[in-house]
Amino acid sequence: MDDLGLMLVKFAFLLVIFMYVVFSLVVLKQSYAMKNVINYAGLSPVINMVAAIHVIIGVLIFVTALLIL
Amino acid sequence: MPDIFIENSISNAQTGKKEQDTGHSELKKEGDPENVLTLEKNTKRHNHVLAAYCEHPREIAYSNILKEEAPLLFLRKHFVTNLPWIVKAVLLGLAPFIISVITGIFNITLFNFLPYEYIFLGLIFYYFVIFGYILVNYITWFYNISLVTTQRIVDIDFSHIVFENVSASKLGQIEDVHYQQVGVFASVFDYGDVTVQTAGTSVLGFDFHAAPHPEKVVHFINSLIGTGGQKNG
Repeated sequence: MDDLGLMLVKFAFLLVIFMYVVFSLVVLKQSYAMKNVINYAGLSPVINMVAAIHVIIGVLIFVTALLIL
Repeated sequence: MPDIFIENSISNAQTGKKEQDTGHSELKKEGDPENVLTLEKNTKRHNHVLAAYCEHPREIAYSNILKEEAPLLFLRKHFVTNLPWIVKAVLLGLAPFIISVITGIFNITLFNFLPYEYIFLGLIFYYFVIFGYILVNYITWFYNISLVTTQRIVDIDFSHIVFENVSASKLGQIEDVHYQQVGVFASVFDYGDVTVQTAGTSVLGFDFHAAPHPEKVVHFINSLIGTGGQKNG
């Protein structure tokens, strides 16, 4: 693949990851919002933590993609 | 002679009281320590991650709970209803391996035009998206809750991450409760849709989709309606 094609793939890849990270932030926000509505058996903080880990992994993948690609 | 009538009326009154008590024993005798113990033995308190049915839940905090209101019944969709997305996630997780095996057998090259780091990061991102898919579906199931309290019936709908709807109605406004169980899975795993029809214009009814033990739920709410009616009357 030529350089221009590779640049396009890289740009598209970064854009998709970025958009997914934004989506994961929405998930985290909603998870926190729902925790304020109802907290069952003290599990909501655990779910919030998993949602936060989801965002962190997303950011890490985005940064890695920026550095490596 | 008059004594006999007095005796009869007393005995009738006692019988009537007994009938009332047996009809709504769970609520009327709640204050009695012995009955509370019996009730606790008979109730299901599954306060764990996958719980879908819980009578008299203890560890539950609802933000809009009223003063002197206590949760009596906690409901979610039966866990079996999660099977479709669990199966999808597992298949998606296995897909790269299956594809690599197939391409290996038939000597096909799929992503050879891309550098190694692109494929590597793409694969990591792919599994990350599957993780997100599982998380979103689990959160959707986890926060889709129905509550029956001592005073109200509360339905918390949460779907597609951005849709949030919390509706509540007083027990006195409930007019009819019924359920329907359709399908083999629903019969085998004992779940069904419970519909609670209420009076008033703002909230027409509540639908508890795929609620576990629908017959018990209907019986539970019916017993509460009866008690509510007596209290109001």
